[in-house]
Amino acid sequence: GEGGSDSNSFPRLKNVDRKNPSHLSVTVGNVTVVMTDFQPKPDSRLSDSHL
Amino acid sequence: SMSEQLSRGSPEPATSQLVNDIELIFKPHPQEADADSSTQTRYIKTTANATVDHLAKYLAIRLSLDTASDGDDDDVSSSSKLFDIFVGSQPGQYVLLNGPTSLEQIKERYWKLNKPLEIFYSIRKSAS
Repeated sequence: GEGGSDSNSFPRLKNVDRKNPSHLSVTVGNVTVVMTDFQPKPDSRLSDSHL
Repeated sequence: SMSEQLSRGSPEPATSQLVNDIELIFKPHPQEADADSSTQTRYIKTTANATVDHLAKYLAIRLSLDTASDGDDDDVSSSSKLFDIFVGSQPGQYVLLNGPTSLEQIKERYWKLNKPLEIFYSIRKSAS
Protein backbone atom coordinates (compact mmCIF):
# COMPACT_ATOMS: atom_id res chain seq x y z
CA GLY A 1 0.00 0.00 0.00
CA GLU A 2 0.96 3.60 0.02
CA GLY A 3 0.25 4.42 3.58
CA GLY A 4 2.63 7.20 4.45
CA SER A 5 4.51 5.49 7.18
CA ASP A 6 6.99 8.15 8.09
CA SER A 7 10.18 6.48 9.15
CA ASN A 8 11.77 9.89 9.37
CA SER A 9 9.59 11.18 12.12
CA PHE A 10 11.57 12.59 14.92
CA PRO A 11 10.93 12.40 18.62
CA ARG A 12 9.36 15.51 19.98
CA LEU A 13 10.78 17.54 22.78
CA LYS A 14 9.39 16.91 26.20
CA ASN A 15 8.99 19.38 29.00
CA VAL A 16 8.66 22.39 26.77
CA ASP A 17 5.96 24.99 26.74
CA ARG A 18 4.46 24.97 23.27
CA LYS A 19 2.04 27.75 23.95
CA ASN A 20 4.40 30.67 23.61
CA PRO A 21 6.96 29.90 20.94
CA SER A 22 9.10 32.57 19.41
CA HIS A 23 10.10 32.41 15.79
CA LEU A 24 13.25 33.58 14.13
CA SER A 25 14.03 33.37 10.45
CA VAL A 26 17.63 32.59 9.64
CA THR A 27 19.03 32.91 6.13
CA VAL A 28 22.29 31.38 5.03
CA GLY A 29 23.11 31.66 1.36
CA ASN A 30 19.73 31.43 -0.34
CA VAL A 31 18.13 29.10 2.15
CA THR A 32 15.88 30.51 4.83
CA VAL A 33 14.67 28.39 7.69
CA VAL A 34 12.46 29.29 10.61
CA MET A 35 13.69 28.40 14.05
CA THR A 36 10.94 28.01 16.60
CA ASP A 37 12.12 28.56 20.10
CA PHE A 38 10.28 26.95 23.03
CA GLN A 39 10.64 27.82 26.65
CA PRO A 40 11.26 24.92 28.99
CA LYS A 41 8.46 24.04 31.31
CA PRO A 42 9.31 24.62 34.93
CA ASP A 43 10.21 21.33 36.53
CA SER A 44 7.46 20.73 39.02
CA ARG A 45 9.75 18.76 41.26
CA LEU A 46 12.24 21.56 41.60
CA SER A 47 10.02 24.58 41.50
CA ASP A 48 8.89 24.96 45.06
CA SER A 49 9.31 28.60 45.99
CA HIS A 50 12.49 29.20 44.13
CA LEU A 51 11.76 32.88 43.88
CA SER B 1 8.47 -0.99 0.60
CA MET B 2 11.65 0.21 -0.95
CA SER B 3 12.00 3.82 -0.06
CA GLU B 4 15.62 4.58 -0.42
CA GLN B 5 16.59 8.14 0.02
CA LEU B 6 19.61 9.31 -1.86
CA SER B 7 20.68 12.78 -0.98
CA ARG B 8 23.54 13.08 -3.37
CA GLY B 9 22.09 15.36 -5.96
CA SER B 10 22.99 18.97 -6.21
CA PRO B 11 21.08 21.04 -3.70
CA GLU B 12 18.18 22.79 -5.29
CA PRO B 13 16.26 25.75 -4.00
CA ALA B 14 13.38 24.12 -2.24
CA THR B 15 10.09 25.55 -3.33
CA SER B 16 7.58 22.76 -3.15
CA GLN B 17 9.51 20.05 -1.41
CA LEU B 18 8.21 18.69 1.81
CA VAL B 19 10.63 19.08 4.63
CA ASN B 20 10.34 17.33 7.91
CA ASP B 21 10.36 19.19 11.13
CA ILE B 22 13.13 18.38 13.53
CA GLU B 23 13.11 19.24 17.18
CA LEU B 24 16.40 19.55 18.95
CA ILE B 25 18.02 20.58 22.17
CA PHE B 26 20.74 23.14 21.76
CA LYS B 27 23.12 23.64 24.63
CA PRO B 28 26.62 24.73 25.52
CA HIS B 29 29.42 22.26 25.11
CA PRO B 30 29.95 20.72 28.54
CA GLN B 31 33.63 21.45 28.38
CA GLU B 32 33.04 25.16 28.09
CA ALA B 33 34.27 26.55 31.36
CA ASP B 34 31.81 29.38 31.78
CA ALA B 35 28.84 27.62 30.28
CA ASP B 36 25.74 27.55 32.39
CA SER B 37 23.73 24.96 30.57
CA SER B 38 20.70 25.35 32.76
CA THR B 39 20.07 28.87 31.55
CA GLN B 40 21.53 28.63 28.09
CA THR B 41 19.83 25.47 26.89
CA ARG B 42 17.47 26.20 24.03
CA TYR B 43 14.64 24.06 22.75
CA ILE B 44 14.18 24.47 19.04
CA LYS B 45 11.99 23.22 16.28
CA THR B 46 13.10 23.78 12.73
CA THR B 47 13.14 22.01 9.40
CA ALA B 48 15.42 19.16 8.43
CA ASN B 49 17.08 21.22 5.72
CA ALA B 50 18.52 23.64 8.26
CA THR B 51 22.29 23.44 8.37
CA VAL B 52 24.96 23.87 10.99
CA ASP B 53 25.50 27.35 9.58
CA HIS B 54 21.87 28.16 10.27
CA LEU B 55 22.29 27.02 13.86
CA ALA B 56 25.42 29.10 14.33
CA LYS B 57 23.78 32.16 12.86
CA TYR B 58 20.65 31.63 14.90
CA LEU B 59 22.82 31.47 17.99
CA ALA B 60 24.68 34.63 17.08
CA ILE B 61 21.41 36.47 16.57
CA ARG B 62 19.95 35.14 19.80
CA LEU B 63 22.96 36.02 21.86
CA SER B 64 23.21 39.46 20.33
CA LEU B 65 19.56 40.02 21.23
CA ASP B 66 20.14 38.85 24.75
CA THR B 67 23.14 41.07 25.26
CA ALA B 68 22.08 43.93 23.05
CA SER B 69 22.73 46.52 25.71
CA ASP B 70 26.46 46.07 26.03
CA GLY B 71 26.91 45.68 22.35
CA ASP B 72 30.43 45.92 21.14
CA ASP B 73 29.64 43.54 18.36
CA ASP B 74 28.55 45.45 15.34
CA ASP B 75 27.97 42.72 12.81
CA VAL B 76 25.91 39.68 13.58
CA SER B 77 26.55 38.01 10.28
CA SER B 78 30.30 37.97 10.76
CA SER B 79 29.99 36.65 14.28
CA SER B 80 28.19 33.58 13.04
CA LYS B 81 31.62 32.15 12.41
CA LEU B 82 32.43 32.32 16.08
CA PHE B 83 30.69 29.15 17.10
CA ASP B 84 31.72 25.56 16.81
CA ILE B 85 28.79 23.17 16.55
CA PHE B 86 28.97 19.59 17.77
CA VAL B 87 26.73 16.57 17.91
CA GLY B 88 27.01 14.13 20.77
CA SER B 89 27.45 10.86 18.92
CA GLN B 90 28.16 8.82 21.99
CA PRO B 91 28.18 9.72 25.66
CA GLY B 92 31.08 12.04 26.28
CA GLN B 93 32.07 12.13 22.66
CA TYR B 94 31.42 15.16 20.50
CA VAL B 95 31.85 15.45 16.78
CA LEU B 96 32.60 18.84 15.27
CA LEU B 97 30.25 19.52 12.38
CA ASN B 98 30.87 21.29 9.11
CA GLY B 99 28.81 24.34 8.28
CA PRO B 100 26.95 22.95 5.25
CA THR B 101 25.83 19.78 7.05
CA SER B 102 22.05 19.63 7.36
CA LEU B 103 20.14 18.39 10.36
CA GLU B 104 18.83 15.57 8.21
CA GLN B 105 22.39 14.44 7.54
CA ILE B 106 23.37 14.82 11.17
CA LYS B 107 20.48 12.64 12.16
CA GLU B 108 21.32 9.96 9.61
CA ARG B 109 25.02 9.87 10.32
CA TYR B 110 25.31 10.37 14.02
CA TRP B 111 22.03 10.12 15.84
CA LYS B 112 20.68 6.63 16.35
CA LEU B 113 18.82 7.29 19.55
CA ASN B 114 15.08 7.54 19.78
CA LYS B 115 15.09 10.91 21.45
CA PRO B 116 15.43 14.48 20.27
CA LEU B 117 18.68 15.47 18.67
CA GLU B 118 21.15 17.14 21.00
CA ILE B 119 23.44 19.76 19.54
CA PHE B 120 26.24 21.48 21.43
CA TYR B 121 27.91 24.77 20.75
CA SER B 122 31.07 26.38 21.96
CA ILE B 123 32.29 29.88 21.41
CA ARG B 124 35.45 29.97 19.39
CA LYS B 125 37.86 32.03 21.39
CA SER B 126 40.26 33.16 18.71
CA ALA B 127 38.42 35.60 16.53
CA SER B 128 40.21 37.32 13.76
